[in-house]
Amino acid sequence: MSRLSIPPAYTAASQQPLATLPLPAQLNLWLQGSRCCVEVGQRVLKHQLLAEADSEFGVALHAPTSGHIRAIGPLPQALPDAPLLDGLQLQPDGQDEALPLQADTDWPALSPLALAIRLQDMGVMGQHGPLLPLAWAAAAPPLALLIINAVENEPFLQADSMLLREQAAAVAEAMTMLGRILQPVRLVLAIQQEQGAAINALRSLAANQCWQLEVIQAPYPAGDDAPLLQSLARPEESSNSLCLPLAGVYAAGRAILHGEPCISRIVTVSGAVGQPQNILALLGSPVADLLACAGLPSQQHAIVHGGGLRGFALPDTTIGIHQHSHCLLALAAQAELIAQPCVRCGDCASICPSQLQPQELYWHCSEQQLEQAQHWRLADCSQCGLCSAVCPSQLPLLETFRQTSQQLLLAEQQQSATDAARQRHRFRQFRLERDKQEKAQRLAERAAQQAAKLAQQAATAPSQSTTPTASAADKQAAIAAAMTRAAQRQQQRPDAAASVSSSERDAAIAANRQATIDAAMARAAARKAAQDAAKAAAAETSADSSEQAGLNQQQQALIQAAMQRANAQKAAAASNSPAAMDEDKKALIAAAMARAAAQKAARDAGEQEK
Amino acid sequence: MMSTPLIRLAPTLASRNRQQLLALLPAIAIQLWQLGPQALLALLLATATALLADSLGLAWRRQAIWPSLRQGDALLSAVLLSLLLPATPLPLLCICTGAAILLLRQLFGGSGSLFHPVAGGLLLAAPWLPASLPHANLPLTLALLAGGLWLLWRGLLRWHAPLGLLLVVLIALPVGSGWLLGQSALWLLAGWVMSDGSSTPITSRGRLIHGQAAGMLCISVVTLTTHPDAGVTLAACLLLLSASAPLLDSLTLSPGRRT
Repeated sequence: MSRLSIPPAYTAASQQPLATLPLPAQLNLWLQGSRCCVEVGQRVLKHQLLAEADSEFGVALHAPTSGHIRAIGPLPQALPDAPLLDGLQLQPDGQDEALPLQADTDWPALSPLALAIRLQDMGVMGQHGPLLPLAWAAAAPPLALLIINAVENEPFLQADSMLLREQAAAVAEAMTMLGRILQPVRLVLAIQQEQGAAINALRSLAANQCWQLEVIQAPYPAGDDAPLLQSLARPEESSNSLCLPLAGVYAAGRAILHGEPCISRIVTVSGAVGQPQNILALLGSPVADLLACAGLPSQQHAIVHGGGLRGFALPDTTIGIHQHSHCLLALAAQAELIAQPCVRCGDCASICPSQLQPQELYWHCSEQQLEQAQHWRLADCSQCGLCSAVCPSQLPLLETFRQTSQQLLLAEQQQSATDAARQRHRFRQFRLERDKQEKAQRLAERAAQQAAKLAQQAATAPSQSTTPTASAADKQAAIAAAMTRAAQRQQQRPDAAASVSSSERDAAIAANRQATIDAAMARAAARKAAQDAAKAAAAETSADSSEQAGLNQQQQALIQAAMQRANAQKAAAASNSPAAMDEDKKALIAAAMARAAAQKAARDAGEQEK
Repeated sequence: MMSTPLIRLAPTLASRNRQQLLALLPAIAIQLWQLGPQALLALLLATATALLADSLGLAWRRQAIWPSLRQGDALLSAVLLSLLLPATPLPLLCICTGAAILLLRQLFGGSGSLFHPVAGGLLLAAPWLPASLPHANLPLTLALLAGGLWLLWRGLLRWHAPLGLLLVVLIALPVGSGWLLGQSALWLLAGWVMSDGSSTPITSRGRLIHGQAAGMLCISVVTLTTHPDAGVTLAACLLLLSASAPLLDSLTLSPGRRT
């Protein structure tokens, strides 16, 4: 079977102007990887921070309007099967009292990482998590190709086209801003041939800009990030290119150039509603309000969240919209579908854009054979929904693949949590063992000092070996002083960096890199100290108890320096985010390893000397 | 799990079966014109038997009867059998239809059955069929051809297996297989039985191989033995090859290149 075309009735652009949703009676917001920083009952103003990102993958949340916080806790969310996830209920007070917006005037000076962090704090989302992935921005690889994805070829979706028609100038501004900060070699806005009005809106702006317009003609799902990258990136660009959704880019422009956090989005409301149209709605607006705004005749409809092929049914219309709510569909309730057995027609396999064998995959997924499902490339399924749309037996292929992928993801997360716990356990064992050794050393040292004191008391005249001991002690003192200096310098450096970028996460990432450099420096210093000690031992063949004490002093100094370093790193990395806590842990491990290396080097030196 | 009613890009099973029946209408009309009311009676009796047998099978397998019955698989099988066995005594036709539906369709799991009930019913009736060479029925053949072409134009005919069969028949013309092309049974089996997905391999390559193998087997048997009925021979070959479909599947199916 050839690739089926999607009936034009589903993709025809709406002629209706953009409508704005009246203020809902309640907003049900979703905390996506963020931690609440307001309390129940508190009054908040528009644009006020409600929750800040608690991990590298979360984004902050701002109040869409002024009002009172009514509840914080699990709420059903607009996701497949409407799972209960952390959410926040805001009751607007109708005054829409806003905090003043502070535009970032020195945005051209932002680094990619600072931009990514700022976008995260402004609540601007991309496909997964913040618009610019923090890990990507921290590595800051040279960007060959940046694609702004405005392609909408899934049936019913029109939100991006509407955004371009209404806000073409603002989108162009946002793209110029991104181009200036991220410095891509090529900046492309990808759009579908059918989005005529949006293309016209852009054509006049595209002249003399740092970006180009790419009009693609391939059918659905060519507008997904992966196929788009494949079709637009030249072979040499494919490894370092990035694809960003249009709505996120527009929100980024508002956030950076005007200081306005992301609190609303455009939603297409279509299907069996009185007037299909695009509605600008605050995040968290209940689905029922949007449908009522478009004129839903009665409640006897299946409410679908998402486009005509990828959408999923919502069991409840009080669920609030989130940043990925492109489209809401009210479809006439059909007689309950009773899936017939697979008739092995092979239509799903011939239409699959990823060249999968959906019928085999469906069999293994419904039998819960996860390994077999992976063997049949479940990971390559882009969940485009074409197989479900052509299956004559009306099997729920897409839903099954979605659920099984979710299961696999959960299993993966559990595995990584287990690995982290195992590493923590190993480190604890290492720490206990090390503490034991240090204690034993301290005891031995004290005993040696006692013995030395006794020997000094016993001997009336000072021994001959005082001079070399003193010189060795001098050297140790110099090393210790240098290390303290280094530790202090290091303590100051993150502070300075923090005052410049005014961000703790920035510092945490810098501290992590610093920790590895420091560990290497400590190892080098320890090696040098050991060489010095060996040289001193070769020069001074008469090995005294005082020399032994000197070696112990040296060890002690090294240990102290390492501990100071670890403390300094801890101070630098002490921030609220768990991502930074990981960094902190890494720094501790690095310091401990440096200390262990120093001890070993010293011990080796002692053995050589013997 | 809530099943989401989204847009459909291809007809459902029921609508496919309806259109396949529609494509058979010219052939049914020709047969009524040739054989008169007896053909109508045969058609009705076969249909009733098939529906009854299908319901019995579904009840026995403890499945919902109506949702499966309304897909029209059993109806299509009955119409095909009544077209394939035109001059058979009515009781024989009914027994063959009922047994084919019960044994080959319901026993092997309903719509996804590996063995096509029409091929099975034809084979069951074979011992009682007249041993003389059936003459070529040109009007019927042309009507079937027209229906098949219409299905092809609608994109409802999975053409790989029938193409394989026709290729072999055309290549074997020098051996003397030309008379096969005039047999309406060949076109019926090629257009309505071999194009069925569940009794053929699932990949296009597998289906081509399936059709070619069926053609070669059928022509060998027809030319080398004295058995003259092409329809029965082809039905037997198809049943044999359906049994080998899982093997062909495992040879031609692969998860594909990992990306």
